[in-house]
Amino acid sequence: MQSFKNLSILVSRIIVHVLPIIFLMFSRKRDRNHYFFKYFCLFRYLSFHSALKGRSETLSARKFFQEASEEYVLPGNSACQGCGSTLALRWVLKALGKKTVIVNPASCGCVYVGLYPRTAVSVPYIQMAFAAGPAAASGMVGGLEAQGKKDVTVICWAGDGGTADIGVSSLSGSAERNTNYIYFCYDNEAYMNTGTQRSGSTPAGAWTTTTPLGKKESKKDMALIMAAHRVPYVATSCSSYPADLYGKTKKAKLIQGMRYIHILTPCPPGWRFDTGLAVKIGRLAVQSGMWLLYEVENGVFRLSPPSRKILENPEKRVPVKEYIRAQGRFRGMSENEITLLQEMIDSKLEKVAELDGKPLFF
Amino acid sequence: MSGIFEVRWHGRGGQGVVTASRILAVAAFNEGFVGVQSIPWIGAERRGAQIEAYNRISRTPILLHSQVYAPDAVIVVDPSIISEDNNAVVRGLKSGGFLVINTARSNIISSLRVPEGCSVYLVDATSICLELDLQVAGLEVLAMPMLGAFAKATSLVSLKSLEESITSSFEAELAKKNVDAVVKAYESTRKAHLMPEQYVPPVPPSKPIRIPEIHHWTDLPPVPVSTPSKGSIGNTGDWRTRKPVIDKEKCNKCLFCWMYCPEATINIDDSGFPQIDYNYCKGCEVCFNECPRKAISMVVEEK
Repeated sequence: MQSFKNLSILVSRIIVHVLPIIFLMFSRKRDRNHYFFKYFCLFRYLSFHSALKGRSETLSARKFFQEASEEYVLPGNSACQGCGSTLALRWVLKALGKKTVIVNPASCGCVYVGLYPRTAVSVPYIQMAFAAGPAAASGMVGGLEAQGKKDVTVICWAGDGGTADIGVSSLSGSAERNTNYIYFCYDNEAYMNTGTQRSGSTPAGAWTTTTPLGKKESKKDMALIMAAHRVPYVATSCSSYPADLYGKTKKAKLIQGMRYIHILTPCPPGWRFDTGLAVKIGRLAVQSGMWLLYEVENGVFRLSPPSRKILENPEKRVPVKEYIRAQGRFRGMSENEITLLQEMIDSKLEKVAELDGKPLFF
Repeated sequence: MSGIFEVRWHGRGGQGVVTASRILAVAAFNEGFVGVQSIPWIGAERRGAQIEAYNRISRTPILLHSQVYAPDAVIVVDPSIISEDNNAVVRGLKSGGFLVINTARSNIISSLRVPEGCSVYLVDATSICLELDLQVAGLEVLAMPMLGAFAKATSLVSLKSLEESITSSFEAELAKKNVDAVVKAYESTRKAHLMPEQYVPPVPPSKPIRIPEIHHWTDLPPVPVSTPSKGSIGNTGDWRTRKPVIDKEKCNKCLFCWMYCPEATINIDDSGFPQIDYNYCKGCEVCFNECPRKAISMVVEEK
């Protein structure tokens, strides 16, 4: 088994390092530039991914700056102070680059992009009706294919209401057709744009204006629903881990077919915490195991480094009470309920540890 | 007082304007006014965006349900709104009306233009909030002291009925803090004496936008395409009450602040130090919390 593994590594090294050079030597000059570019991208991605997997989950920010200094979300937009969603969009666009088209069903995204005649996002941005985001993206992919434009990435940037409640039928349709685009759901766990109403993605116990005593039902697991569509790539991320989000977006860009990335984005006004804690709260969600970072690539479930860290070292796990008590929206939760939640999370993490690296579905 | 007394509030989302307007309506009802209204006017619910709220107070029941176009009193909760556009704030203000402003800065007072016969009252609500630590989720609730200033300026509602209204809408400890702020503002409100040239003819209320009729496709305007630009809704630096300042001696150029800034306002200068664009920094304090060397400090800003 060991020798087989070594052999497979050797073969992959030859494919990655030697074949392109031979290919470049014997290809026509016109093709040469094209292939050089393609393999250059692959090398960049591989080196990045190994860094992501190996030494630490965060690259040093300085190295990051050399790679991703271009800003596509411009300052002076109308998002709230400490908005997790703009932070996530900023890193998604840094990873995708200039040749990107955004389709945005009704959400906070429609607000912070700004009013005519000025916009805060420097890539094409189309605002769409609530239920029709993936349908519009499908049309756009078709149009670009008909024009022969292959280097443009189409993404759908939707909130959790537009994903889990209103947009779920057209999202499911586009996943079934395996349309070639990336769907990003930024999950702030309620309808924040209209002033915090309950959505299918709101966790149990959370206060919203429509659940003043705390929500009774639990959160809809959209990422696993999408994985059950057998799409090539499903991942979850969090705006407090820009390196994780950046790496997953880079990876998704290279895959063909429908890709789904679910991002947890803390929302200071809706979750009721100080704006300055926006990054810290997202980190607590991951460190307590309340939110898991994972990838489902061709059906194989794999935990991401930040979540694997708390599984392997239980002493680094933060009690979920710390996450719950840091936010005003969980003020109605009693100590008993928090203990129950902690037990639920512990049993969930045990099951997840068994699942790591294995196919998710039969 | 005869007829309907109308009030317009100018503030930003997150400063408690809508709540304060509701408290004023309840207080006026406690005072004996039969017809009271509190109407919020907000676009998308979002912090920092300019919002308005309206109150109507009358001895008889009110049958009018609309926005207020010609107010008897205007309350300016955030002074940056009046320095941005003076006419938008005093539009429709009746001559002989009241203008209550939260400011302590002389340059704002000297650049004011108010309709003839209006009386201007000033209160420093920002420092009252900072002093009493009256905050919700990191933002100062500036609208609450303005209630006290309004009571002093117009003497429509008494402090006692305001206090009743506040205790009925908040929990005990929070209510006490709010009442303290209102009383403090009532005591410190003073009338401003303006120069004669600062009084201008009344500004007419704005008219609703008329949409042109379209009969043929040639009547349509050209396809509107927005162009990307910094400050798409203006200088968002006006939103903050505290600004982050980087101590270059402590900074080790790790760029975590650049990485976590939700606004992309942090750039890198030639020597490798992070540099904050104060025109657009909203003062969210994320960089202050994320800096591993604690090289960033938040400094209270003068407004």
